[in-house]
Amino acid sequence: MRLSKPVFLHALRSQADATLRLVITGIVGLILYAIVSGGVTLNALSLAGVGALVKGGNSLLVLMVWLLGLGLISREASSGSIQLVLLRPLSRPSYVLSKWAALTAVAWALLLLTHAAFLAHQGLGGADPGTFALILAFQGLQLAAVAAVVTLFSTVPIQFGELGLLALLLLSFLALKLLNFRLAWQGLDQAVSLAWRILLPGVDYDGGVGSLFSGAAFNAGVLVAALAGAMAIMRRREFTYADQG
Amino acid sequence: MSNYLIEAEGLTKTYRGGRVPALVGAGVQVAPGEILGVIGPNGAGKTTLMACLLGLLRPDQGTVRLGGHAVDSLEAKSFVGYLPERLRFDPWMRGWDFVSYHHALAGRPEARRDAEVTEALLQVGLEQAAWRRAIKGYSRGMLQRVGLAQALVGRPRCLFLDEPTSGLDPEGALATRGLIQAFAAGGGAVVVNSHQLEQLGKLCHKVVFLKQGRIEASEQWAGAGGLRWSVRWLAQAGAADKAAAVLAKLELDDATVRKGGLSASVADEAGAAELVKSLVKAGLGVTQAGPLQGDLEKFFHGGGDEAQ
Repeated sequence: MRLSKPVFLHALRSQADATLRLVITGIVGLILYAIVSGGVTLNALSLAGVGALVKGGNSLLVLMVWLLGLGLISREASSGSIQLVLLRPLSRPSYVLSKWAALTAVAWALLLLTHAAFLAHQGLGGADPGTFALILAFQGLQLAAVAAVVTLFSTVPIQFGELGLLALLLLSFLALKLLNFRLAWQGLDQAVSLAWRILLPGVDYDGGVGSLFSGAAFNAGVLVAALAGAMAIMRRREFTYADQG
Repeated sequence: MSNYLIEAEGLTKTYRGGRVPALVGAGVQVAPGEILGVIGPNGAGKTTLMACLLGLLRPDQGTVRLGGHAVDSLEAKSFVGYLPERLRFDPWMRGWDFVSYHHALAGRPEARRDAEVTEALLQVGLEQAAWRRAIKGYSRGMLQRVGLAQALVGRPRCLFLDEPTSGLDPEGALATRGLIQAFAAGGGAVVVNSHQLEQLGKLCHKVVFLKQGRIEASEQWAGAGGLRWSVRWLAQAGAADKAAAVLAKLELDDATVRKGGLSASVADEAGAAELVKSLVKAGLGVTQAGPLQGDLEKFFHGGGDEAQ
């Protein structure tokens, strides 16, 4: 199983188009909001946009990955264009991997842009460049994991189109909330703290950095599980043109 | 090693947890150089058969092999070219991008991409001004042409075509027919699914008639380089044995004998005359004789039997 260059590049192009549309829609929305609310200058508006990106940070990017990836595979499956791709000498796991990689690449590009905007706006502000890089890497991994979960959802045949998919996502989110992440986090924190003490016996345990590592371990687990699930579903899925109008 | 490029046996497929049968023990074989037509009424299982042959659907029972490889193997997929009835694509794609994308997916060498994409687009007769235009603005005929270019660009050995001449003008339909025949003449195997019986009758070597998921009839439609002749006779005892003896004497070994008639490949009209004369001489009350090719409509309406 390896990345398929044509599928990756094709998906990247589609994602780039969708991102551009999403960003343009967002900007138009902001401008309309400014016009309706009145008296907001464009400068204030751009500052507000950067501020929102900085404050909302990863949450906004996670939302964008959800929106961009919602139809990653399901749209191709429902339109019927996936059939021609799957008939080519390309394994289905490679197809899934390439789609996920393209979505992740777009997410990372957006992450870098956000951080560049943050740096241009406020600079490091006395923060340690190493910590900044560590947070960036953590956020990158988190977005890759989110992209894997979105890819997994996108492989599931949904009878009611993207609205059905959205409902499924909301249900999953609520289910995760009900399960309460805290227990899992505590376990992970303890494991990281133990590993820290074994690997770095002379260094005091830093709770902040430790929680970044627990988060990274959690995200890596989610990423692998979601991608494996997506590949397993795609291996079993059937496609026919009889489904299309 | 099988002589067939496309070989399916005992295909059974049901939907809705086994409640709706779509295919019941269907089997087809297509040798290199052959064109097989699949006909049947709506809902007969033609699309399901095509999807099983392509590996998009998994039959409940039965096997499909392409070039001797299991249909879902990467080796088998490297043999396949497919033209769907309705082409789907991303709205931003141009004709050139679409065919290039499939050239890359087919694993063809990147260094030959421009040359082979150009060749495929020229082959299908898509006007050059349209190559760099967005596909979403294409007419039905142009879509059909770019779809055919997509099917051919991977240099397949097995071609699966769903309504290949649909939407084409008469000139385009003729050119497409020529293209498919040239592909088969080059050693490829073709399966065509179509409702355009006139086109199919002129194109195919073999035809299978599908009804309620079963292959009701299978007919050798045209001999390689010869004529397919149909003869009917009055019902009488021992007619089939007499006919079999005549066929053996004339060494017509690809004939199909049915109740009240037969069809056989003959070299030319003189060969057809010889066949009819021999049947009459053997005591068969011949009532009708003529070329089978082009008479697909009769075959269809008779559920596969009347054409004989």
